[in-house]
Amino acid sequence: MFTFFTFLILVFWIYSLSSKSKDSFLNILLKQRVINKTQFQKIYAYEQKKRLKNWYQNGFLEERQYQEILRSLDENIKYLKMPVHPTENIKNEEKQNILTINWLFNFVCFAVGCIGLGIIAVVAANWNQIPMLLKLIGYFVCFLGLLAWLSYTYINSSQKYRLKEFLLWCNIGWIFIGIALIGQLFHLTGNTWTAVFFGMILSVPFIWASSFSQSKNIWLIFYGLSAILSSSQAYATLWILMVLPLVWKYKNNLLFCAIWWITLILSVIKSYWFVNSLDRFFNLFMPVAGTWMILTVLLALLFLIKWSWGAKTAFFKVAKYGFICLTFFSVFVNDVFYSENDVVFSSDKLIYSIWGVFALMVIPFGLIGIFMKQKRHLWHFWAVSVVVAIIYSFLENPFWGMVLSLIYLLCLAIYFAHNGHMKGFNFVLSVMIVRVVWQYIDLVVSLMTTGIGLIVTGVVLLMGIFFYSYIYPCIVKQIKNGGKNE
Amino acid sequence: MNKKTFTVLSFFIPFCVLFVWVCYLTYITTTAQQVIVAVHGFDPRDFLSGRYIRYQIDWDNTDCTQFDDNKCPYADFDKIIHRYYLPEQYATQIDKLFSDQILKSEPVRFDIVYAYIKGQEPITSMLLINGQEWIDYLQTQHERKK
Repeated sequence: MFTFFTFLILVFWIYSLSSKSKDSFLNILLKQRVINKTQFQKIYAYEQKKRLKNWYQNGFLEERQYQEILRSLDENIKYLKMPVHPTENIKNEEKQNILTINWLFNFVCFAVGCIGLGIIAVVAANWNQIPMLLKLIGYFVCFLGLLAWLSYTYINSSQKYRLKEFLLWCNIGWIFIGIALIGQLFHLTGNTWTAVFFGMILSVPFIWASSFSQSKNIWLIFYGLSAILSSSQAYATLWILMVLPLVWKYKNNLLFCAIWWITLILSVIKSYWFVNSLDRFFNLFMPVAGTWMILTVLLALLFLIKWSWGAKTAFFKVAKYGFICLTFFSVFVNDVFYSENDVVFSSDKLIYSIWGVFALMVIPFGLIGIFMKQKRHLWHFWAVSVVVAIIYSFLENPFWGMVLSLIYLLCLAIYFAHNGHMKGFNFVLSVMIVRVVWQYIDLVVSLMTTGIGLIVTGVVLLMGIFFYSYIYPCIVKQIKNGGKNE
Repeated sequence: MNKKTFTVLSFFIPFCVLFVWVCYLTYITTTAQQVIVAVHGFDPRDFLSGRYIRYQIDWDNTDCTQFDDNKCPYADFDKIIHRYYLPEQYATQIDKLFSDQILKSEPVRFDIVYAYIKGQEPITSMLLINGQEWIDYLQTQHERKK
C-alpha cells in the first residue's frame, strides 16, 4: 500500500516540479548535446554577424564600427562560455510564478493521492455485501473505461500531454488496485514486493508510452527496489526479457542501465550465494538494512562519478536525481518496515542499529555534500542524524518513530530551504505529508470510514483548487468590470 | 501497423493478463480437489488488502487420508504464506474467536478449504468454523444470542 501511495505521490510531485524551460532553439540543441561548444560558438557568431549586417544596412552602424565589431567578434568568439542552464537564468519574477504554480500543483498531487488512497481503503474494506463476481466485473469495466479514455487521448494528438500522463498513471494505479483486489478475493498469499514487482512489469506499456523522463526514472527506481526485495532465481530470465527492449529504447538513459545492472547483480548474489548462510539476514533485513546498503553503494558510485567526470555531466545529474528519490523512499521504508516488524527485529537490534546509525550518518552527508553550497553548519545535521539514528534504532513505539522521522525530515527541509534548493525542499515536504497520512491511516480503525473520508477530502481539495484557479479569477474580473461580461 | 496503433494495443496487455489470471484462478478453485486442513493463528491488518487472518496449519488435527497415499503434503502447503481475507465488519469477531480458540472450554475449530492439485501451490477458498462456513457460523451464533 505504502509503495503504491509513495509511488503515486512521487510521480505527481516530480511531475509538478519539472518546470518548462524557455530555451531558444540553440540552447535546446546544446542542452540535448546535439551540438558541441565549438559548433555553438560558430552558430552564435553567424547569428550575430547576420544581425550586425542588418544594422549596418539599415544605417545604424558606420562602416568603421561595423568592421571593428566584426573583427572583435571573430577574435573573442572562442572565449564565449556555454550558456547556463535556462532554468538558472529565470528572473526573480518568473521564479515567483513557478513557485505559485508548484504550490497549487502540490495541492493537486495531495488531493489525487488522497483519492487514490481512499479507493484502496474502500477496496481493502472488503465489502461482503457485494458478490465477488460483481467486484471483478466492476473492476474490469472501470479498467476498460480508463483504457478507452487513455487510448482516445493518445490517438487524438490535440489532447494535452499532461492529461495523457495523468491517465497513464491512473492506469498504472488501477493495475495495482487490481492486483490487490484479486489477491484479496482469491486469498492469494504472496510477498507484497512480488506483487509490486508484478505490477511494475504490467505497467511497462504505459511507461513505454510516457513522454516524461521523470516518470520513467520513478518507474525504474521502484522496479529496481521491488525486483531486489522480491528477487528469486526464477525472475532473472523475466527481467532480461522485460528490460532489454527498454534498454534499447532508452539507451541514452544511463540511470536506467545503472539501476538495471545493480539490481540484477544484487539479486543474483542474493539468489545464488547468500541463500544458505545469509538467507535469514537478507529476508529479514533486506527491506531495511539492504536498502541502506544499496544506497550507500549508490552514494559511493555517485561520488566516484563526480570526481571522475565532474558535476556537470548529464549522468551525474540523472544519478543525483535518482539518488534523492531512493533516499527519501528509503527513509520511508525504514520507518514503516521498522514499525511493522519491531517484534521481528528485536532479537537482532545490534545489526539493525549499526546499519541505521551508519546509514543515517552517511546518506545525509552525501546529500548535503552534493547539493549544499554552504556547509558551515554541516555538523548540526550530522549531530541530528546520529541522535535520530540511535534513538530510532531502539524505539519500540511506531508513533514516536513517526515523530522522530518527521523531525529528521524537517531538519533536512530546513537545510534545503536555507540553501535555496527548492526541489529538495518540496520533496522533503511531500515525504513528510505522506508519512503523516500513513500514520493517520494506521491509527484509524475502520478502513471504510478512512477511505470515504480520504475520497471526500481529495474531491473537496480539487474543487477548491478549481475554484481558486478558474472561477475566482473570473469573479474578480467581473467585479473589476463592474459586473459586465467582456 | 503504425507505432501509435501498436502502442494503443499494448495498453490492453495488462488488462488481458489480469483477466486471464482471474479466469485461471477461478478455474483452479472450481475444478481442483477440495481439501480441508485445521488451522490456528492471529489477525493482522494490511491497508492494501484489508483485514486477514494469518494462520498456521495444524497438521496434528488434519485428516491426511483425504490426500493421495494418505500422506499430508507438508511441502506444498509450506510454499505459501497462509492468509484468509475477511470483510472488515466481521474481522474483529473472527479475531476474538481466534484468540479465544484455546482458552474456551469448548474450543472452536477452524479449518481452511483449499483447492489443491498435487505438486502445486494450493489456493485458499473457504474458512470453516466448527465445520460451517464462517459467515453461516456467525449468523447462527447471532440468532442463538437473540
